[in-house]
Amino acid sequence: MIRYIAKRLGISFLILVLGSFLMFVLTINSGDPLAEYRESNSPNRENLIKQRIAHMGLNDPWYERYWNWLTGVFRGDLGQDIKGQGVNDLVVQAAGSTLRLVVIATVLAIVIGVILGVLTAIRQYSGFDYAVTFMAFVFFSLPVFWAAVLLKHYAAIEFNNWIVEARFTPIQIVVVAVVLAFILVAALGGPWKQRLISFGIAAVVFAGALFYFSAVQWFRRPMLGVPLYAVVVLAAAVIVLMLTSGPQNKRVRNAIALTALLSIVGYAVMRGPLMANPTTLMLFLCFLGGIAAAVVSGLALGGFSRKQAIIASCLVAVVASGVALADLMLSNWNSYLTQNPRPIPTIGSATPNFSSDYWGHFIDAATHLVLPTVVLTLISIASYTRYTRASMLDVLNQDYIRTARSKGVSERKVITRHAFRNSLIPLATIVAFDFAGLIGGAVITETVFGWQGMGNMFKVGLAAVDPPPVMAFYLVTGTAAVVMNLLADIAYAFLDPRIAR
Amino acid sequence: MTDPNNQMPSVEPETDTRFSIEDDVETTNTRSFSQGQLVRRRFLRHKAAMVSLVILIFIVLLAITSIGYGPIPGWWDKTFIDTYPKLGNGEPTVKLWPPSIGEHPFGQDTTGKDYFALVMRGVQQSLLIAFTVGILATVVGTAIGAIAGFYRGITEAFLMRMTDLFIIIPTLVLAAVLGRMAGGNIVMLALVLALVSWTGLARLVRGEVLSLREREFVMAARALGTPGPRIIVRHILPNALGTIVVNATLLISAAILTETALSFLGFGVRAPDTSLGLLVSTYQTALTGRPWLFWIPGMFILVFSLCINFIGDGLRDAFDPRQQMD
Amino acid sequence: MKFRKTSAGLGLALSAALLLGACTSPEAESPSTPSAGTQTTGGGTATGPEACMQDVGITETKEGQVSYTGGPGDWTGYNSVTSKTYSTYNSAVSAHMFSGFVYFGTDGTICNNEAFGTFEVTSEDPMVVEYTISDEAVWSDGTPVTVNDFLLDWAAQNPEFLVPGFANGENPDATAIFDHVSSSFAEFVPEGPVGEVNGKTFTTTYTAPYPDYKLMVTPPLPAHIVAQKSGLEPDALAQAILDRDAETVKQAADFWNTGWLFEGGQLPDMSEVPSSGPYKLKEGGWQSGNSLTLEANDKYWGTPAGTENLIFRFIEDAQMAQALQNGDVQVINPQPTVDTLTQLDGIGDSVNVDTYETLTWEHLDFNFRSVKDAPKNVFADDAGGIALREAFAYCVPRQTIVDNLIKPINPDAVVMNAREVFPFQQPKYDEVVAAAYDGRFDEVDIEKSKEKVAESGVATPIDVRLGYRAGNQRRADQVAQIAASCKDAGFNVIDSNSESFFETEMPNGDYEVALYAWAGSGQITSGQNIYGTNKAQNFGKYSNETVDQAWATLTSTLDEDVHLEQTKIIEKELWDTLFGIPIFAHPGLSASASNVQNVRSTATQDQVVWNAPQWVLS
Repeated sequence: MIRYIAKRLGISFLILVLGSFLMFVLTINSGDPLAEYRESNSPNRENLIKQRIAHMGLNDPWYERYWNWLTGVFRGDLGQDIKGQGVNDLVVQAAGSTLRLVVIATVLAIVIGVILGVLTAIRQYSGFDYAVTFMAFVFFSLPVFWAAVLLKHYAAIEFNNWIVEARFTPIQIVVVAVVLAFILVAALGGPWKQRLISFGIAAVVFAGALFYFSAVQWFRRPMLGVPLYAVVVLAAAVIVLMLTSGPQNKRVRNAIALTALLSIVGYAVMRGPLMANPTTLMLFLCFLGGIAAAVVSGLALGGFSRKQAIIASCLVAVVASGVALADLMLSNWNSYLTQNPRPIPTIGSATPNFSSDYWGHFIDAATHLVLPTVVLTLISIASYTRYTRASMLDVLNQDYIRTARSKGVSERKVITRHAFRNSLIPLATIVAFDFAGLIGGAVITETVFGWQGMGNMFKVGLAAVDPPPVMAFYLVTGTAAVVMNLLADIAYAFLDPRIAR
Repeated sequence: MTDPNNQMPSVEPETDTRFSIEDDVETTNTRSFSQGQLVRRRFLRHKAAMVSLVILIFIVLLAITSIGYGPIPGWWDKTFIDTYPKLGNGEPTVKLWPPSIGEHPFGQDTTGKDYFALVMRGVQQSLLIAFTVGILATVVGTAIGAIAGFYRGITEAFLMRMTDLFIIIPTLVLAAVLGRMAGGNIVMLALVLALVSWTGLARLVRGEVLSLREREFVMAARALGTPGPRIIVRHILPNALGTIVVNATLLISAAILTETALSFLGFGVRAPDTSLGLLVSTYQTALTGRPWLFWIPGMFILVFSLCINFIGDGLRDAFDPRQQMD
Repeated sequence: MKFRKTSAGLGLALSAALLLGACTSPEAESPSTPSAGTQTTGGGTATGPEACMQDVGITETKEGQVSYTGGPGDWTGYNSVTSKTYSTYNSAVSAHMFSGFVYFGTDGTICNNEAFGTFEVTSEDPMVVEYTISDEAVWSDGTPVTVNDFLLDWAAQNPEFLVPGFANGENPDATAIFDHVSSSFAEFVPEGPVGEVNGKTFTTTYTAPYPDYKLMVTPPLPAHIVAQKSGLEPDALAQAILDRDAETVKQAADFWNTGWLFEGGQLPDMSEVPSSGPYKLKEGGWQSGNSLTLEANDKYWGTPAGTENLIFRFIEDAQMAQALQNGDVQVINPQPTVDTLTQLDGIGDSVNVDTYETLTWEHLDFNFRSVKDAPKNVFADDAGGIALREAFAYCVPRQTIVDNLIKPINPDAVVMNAREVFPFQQPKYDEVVAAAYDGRFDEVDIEKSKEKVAESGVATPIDVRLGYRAGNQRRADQVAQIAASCKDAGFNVIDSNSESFFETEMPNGDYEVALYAWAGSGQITSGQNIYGTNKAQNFGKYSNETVDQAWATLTSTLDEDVHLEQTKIIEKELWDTLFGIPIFAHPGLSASASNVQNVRSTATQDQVVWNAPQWVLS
């Protein structure tokens, strides 16, 4: 296997070099870097043209330009762009920006996509299945910039108008409650009578909640506080328990309960300092503390199910940390609103000339991520949903599932323990590929939301017929693609013994 | 996958699709059907796919018959090139009651061109691109994948590394260079897109063939001395047909979105010709001012893409042997 | 309206508009535009001092911030006149950090910035201009603005003593030492500024009368920083320039070329980047790719900036309207399209929208290459000649084009009938047009056109390749309308758009008619390069003795009456021989939140941000 990998890496390297050669030739032939000056009637036109030719080496033969670039790369110097900026520095900044933009969107898309995929597979050919499939395809089919225009209009401009008052009209409350209840019931399924009852209860609960939120202007002054936090964490613990071992396994149950308890106590203690003068290090340490507590509870109470207990506890700790972060952000939302009365921006990565406390900047970064993240998530949910559904259906039709069912294993257990995990295996390959693609950034999303990421660097470089940034982009994405490709092939070989080498 | 265009949906390996049509057990209790009949019957019962197919055919017919194509004359009396006197601000003249389509059912653009004719032209060009890409990429991808998977060894290594090479060259660069050489020629654009689209399918088909070639019926064919190409065409590909067909549909819908993205970035179809992508990116700021210019081409892209996806979905189910014949 | 005598000067407006104006010229896309804002100047008759900055009663800087965007692309450097940092975005910022003697008014008028200093022509032969810098003028670090700064500015253009044969073009192989985008100061003023080191007055001497002398002396960079960073005494550098000590001056080149280029988001110590304008860089105010924040310069001696912070944001044109509506920016200068305009109008009272004409103008140019160089050129004088050109001019539907494409954006738009003056430059425009053009091509006249075709003796249908750079919807629309109209006269107009039109087709003469735009640079003499025989931008190889003669007369005097007379002669001859057909001045569009006061559009390339120091929040 190691020889195989070494061989593949060697070949991949050659391919990268060959590709870089092709890319370079293609790029320098993609346009005229002097175009803007050629149409000029400026008195210093000749001067400008001369300067640019000298700077970019346009009079050198193409192979010399390529050679200069290539040797530069081996020295660790990616060259200068058309404006004299060091490309090494550009790449680092662009990559940072892109990662911030795509990581959250990807994680969200995977989580939501997988959940929807599993649900639709379980309820194949139900109304819910059709609805999700339909919506997934709709989002998948939207041109990004087209959707961005709509999102900016409704999710930013209209939302910002609304947040001034942050109140719902009674009609809005009724409509929203009914729709939410309908979605919930559709997802839950069950016999008609049960559905009707759930629908009624859910609608009333949602309406009540909305009325409350509206009345106290919760969306201007939101907060969970420790009591609500405790409720949410406990609920999360129960769900994790159901999804992992089931309530019968006492050891896992105890470990999860302890983790949840430790999280709640820990948060109650730390909330004060975290609100007052937090640092990123402190937040990170708190997160680590939560994980440590989970591992300890798993080890201490897990017994024979130690491994499972630790994993389940860690899940709970992660969720608890997430909820804690959400609570902290919500609690600081109001002060952010007073500084920024229109909180959701349509453009950019940070509010310029904005000075605030830690949470102010934290929320500011988050609000700038909202719209692009929504766009990226929506368009990538579709493929995850579809793949998970297909994979899940495939697994559910396998003989061992039939065996498990006929053995009398409960449906919950069949799905969570037997089917779900196996259905995730093929998904791993897709995620590998997608991630490689995402590092390349999202040209259009970056353009419409004004982010200077990898995709934007590439686009601007190509438009200016400027090889260094284009080639730098190629190096990063090409390497990622080659590596992920290799990983996927290895995974293939592992997963399907028939392809063993 | 290195494509920077974030609309590029992944048509990557769906490794779970290991079909085993020949040992289909579910159908033993009904009267026997040939594989083709089975697939057809299942597909015809897939409601969403059928509805989509009808809508798609309707759109295609509408686009081709309305303004005609090439020498074929159309029944719509306006062209997408000529300008007409502007009626008001160019609002759509279609009325629900009393039902009438009026002079310019989809309205007019800034210079007074008939937007219906423009959109129809856009649909034609987008369809041309989508289907050219779908067919070409499918043929190339299948051929390369099948040959690589069947012959293995040096052939496979060469073909798959070549595939890698195509995967790592971004679509935009190819489109920019070749588009420049071709001067915005639409067929050229389709060829470029096809050139970068086949890679996913090639990998997928190869994976499929790799597992199929170890199957008993292929072994048997080999033992009988059947030549390689014949085995591929007669025995292996029919069994991989599901994967191929489903991916062809995905390629088609992806091509529409890619064309749109390229138009947005200025590398796509160019005025005075048009495509849905060009229309939608030209009028991206028209949402509040002249909403019909914003919504209509967008909705066509959406509906078209939806239909293709649902048809693909129906095909997937139809080719899946584990689906019940209820 | 009270004329303003002393006010915040926008020196770099100069180099911004002059140099950039040119560099981004013919594309409608250039993120440029602004104009004689009809709202603020009243009736579009702004010439002379009215086009300059008016006193808006600012006495002190108020708290607050205004965000402006003119397009995407990052700010990349403090020194915006190196070949690498020379861009619209950088110049827009520099305009508020560096003062000079003049700036452009809203219609391209050259306005004096008397807060910075004064100048006068003391002799015409040889031509000598004497400059006096205000005694109060200081950099934001307290160092006075002196002759030293202007000396360096001149030296940075690689004069003869530094790089022999460079500025005058005698040695084409000479390599510049300073990476300056221009060399005209060194070329036209070979002796450089003459004055005392650390003095406040200097003179410049021109070899021949030079009508554009006002644009020659641009806002300088701080010489004392360059000297200090290059390991020289501040006075030593200036003295070295006066002494023609090339070795010492060369030491400063390294810092001048690269010392003010920064890596994304990383500003140096504020002491290295002082300002002589109403705004200065703010510490930590640069978020790469996102925004650049300026703060009021408390050492500025003229009228202070109206608002404490001026923020430049980098936003795509199509995204600007929504960003304005959402309050992410307060002032925008988007590409004018009908939809952006309606989108802005639809926002309601919370924004002010202004449309206007700009100094960029669209035109059709004929190819004058003879048939032996361009076999297909039916308009060549040895083919269809003037008769066929007239036939074509009779069928080009200029009014329809303006009605359909421009009026939806700017209802006041008119067909343009001149080349060197713009319709909003009244009364000059009317006077020139009256003398040069009788209105014969105002209306499409197919019959006349047919007659002329017959007269030319060229057999119909006549193939006419109408070339333009691909990817411009508005040009494609114009070509479609021309083709439709000229079809009846026997022309088969072929839409010959090409990505490489200016690179390949045009220089090779593979076109009959070219469609593009020039940006008015504010210069008096720039047209010579376009219409003069064998000049650099005379792409169609036009040659006419009368025109050459008139340009020669025009460029050798400072007398404005002579300029006007010669302009009339040139315009008339260009019409009579049909050099080409002007169509319209490009429209401009700007919009601002209604709580920002004193926003005023400009026809120049400086963009609406030109008077940003006067913006006040209400």
